[in-house]
Amino acid sequence: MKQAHLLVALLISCLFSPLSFAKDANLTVEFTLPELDVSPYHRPYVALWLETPERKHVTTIALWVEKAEWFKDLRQWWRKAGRSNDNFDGVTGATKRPGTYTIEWQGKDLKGNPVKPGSYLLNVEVVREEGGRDYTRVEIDLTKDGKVTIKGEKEFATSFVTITSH
Amino acid sequence: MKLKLLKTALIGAVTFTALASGYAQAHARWLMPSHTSLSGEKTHYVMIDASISNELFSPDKAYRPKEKGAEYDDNLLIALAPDGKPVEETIRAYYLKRKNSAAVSLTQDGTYHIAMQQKPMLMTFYKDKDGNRGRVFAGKKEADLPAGATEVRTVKSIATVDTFVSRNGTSKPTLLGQGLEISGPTHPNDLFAGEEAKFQLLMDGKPAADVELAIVRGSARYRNERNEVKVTTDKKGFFTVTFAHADMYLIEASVDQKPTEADIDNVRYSLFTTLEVAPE
Repeated sequence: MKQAHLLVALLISCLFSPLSFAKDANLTVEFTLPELDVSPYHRPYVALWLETPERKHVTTIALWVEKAEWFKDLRQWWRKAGRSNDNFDGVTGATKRPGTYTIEWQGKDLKGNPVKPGSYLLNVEVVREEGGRDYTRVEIDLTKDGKVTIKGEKEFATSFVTITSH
Repeated sequence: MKLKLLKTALIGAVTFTALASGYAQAHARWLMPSHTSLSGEKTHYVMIDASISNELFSPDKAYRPKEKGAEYDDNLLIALAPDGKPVEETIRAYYLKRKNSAAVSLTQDGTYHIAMQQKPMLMTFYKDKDGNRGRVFAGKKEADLPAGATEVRTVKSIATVDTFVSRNGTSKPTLLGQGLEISGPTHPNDLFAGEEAKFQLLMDGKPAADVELAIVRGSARYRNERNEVKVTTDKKGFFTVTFAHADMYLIEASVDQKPTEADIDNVRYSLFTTLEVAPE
């Protein structure tokens, strides 16, 4: 019975927003936090987000953090997104150890609305307590399939973003 | 020896010119917040230091509490909260010889405008009978001037010494409404190296056109030149600036106004706004 309800709900949602199913671009970020030979080592705070070419926040893709008190140290993310009233629960996770992680983005903003096809800036910011801060942004075009390299300097290693335009 | 003499003579000349123009070049006054951007739900404290020094932002001289020998002054600083009202909790600024220090608690989300209390100050300049110039912090009538003093001039000084701190969100800072102050469009807690910022200079709440401002980077002790950048406000009081480096900066300006009161020869407005610029 419950399943039938779900199915109906799913069908209705397909009817009303057929585009969001078929056409949303996807991003897959292979993101690497390097092993650093430092002591003490604190796991860094990480933010990945999209901005328009005019540098307006569109949506946050990943936020790996612990205490709100230090969110401000993700300076660029904080000014563009963090200090707004947006809800980041859906993209927030715990801080991570060094390693390579796959971050998937399904083409939706924080409210679940599809992000329009076009050019965006993918921003990556990493800051580590008693360590440094790395910030960079790369241009991506959601209308074209492709793979873009995100150069990391110290706090994150060279990472990659694959765009699937659909 | 000769060189030293020359240097002394030069300094003397500069001092003389400054005084002769009526008003000794004022020292920079500034506030230095421990933080300008805070996040998280708990109540945050921000430390505000106040000092008078030209070597930005190394403290040199503190403000003496009004009451003789007092260790603190509860009326040195005000903080206008995001809701537009002054913070009710007492801001106790301790007198620490070279600086005053106070902790301000921030409980609201948004931007706090923190400033020194603005009370117009009267200064009377004169030349005594031996030709030495002097200054007394009083109006013409109250000033205890030496007998035979000439070239007596009284200046009313209205100084703004302020800064901004944001907790969680930013909000449009509450204006002081008097004296000189800067307003948006750029938010004073959203400054990054390499980005252009645009502000409007206000005087008693109205746009201040054609005013020259000096923008001075902190860490002055660690370079040889002052390297100030001069900008002039347009007809509507706007000016733009691109901060080349991340640092604390002081925005300085002064405007002379014709007095409307008797016994005052000049009204001088001055501005000392501390801003933080983050690295990209």
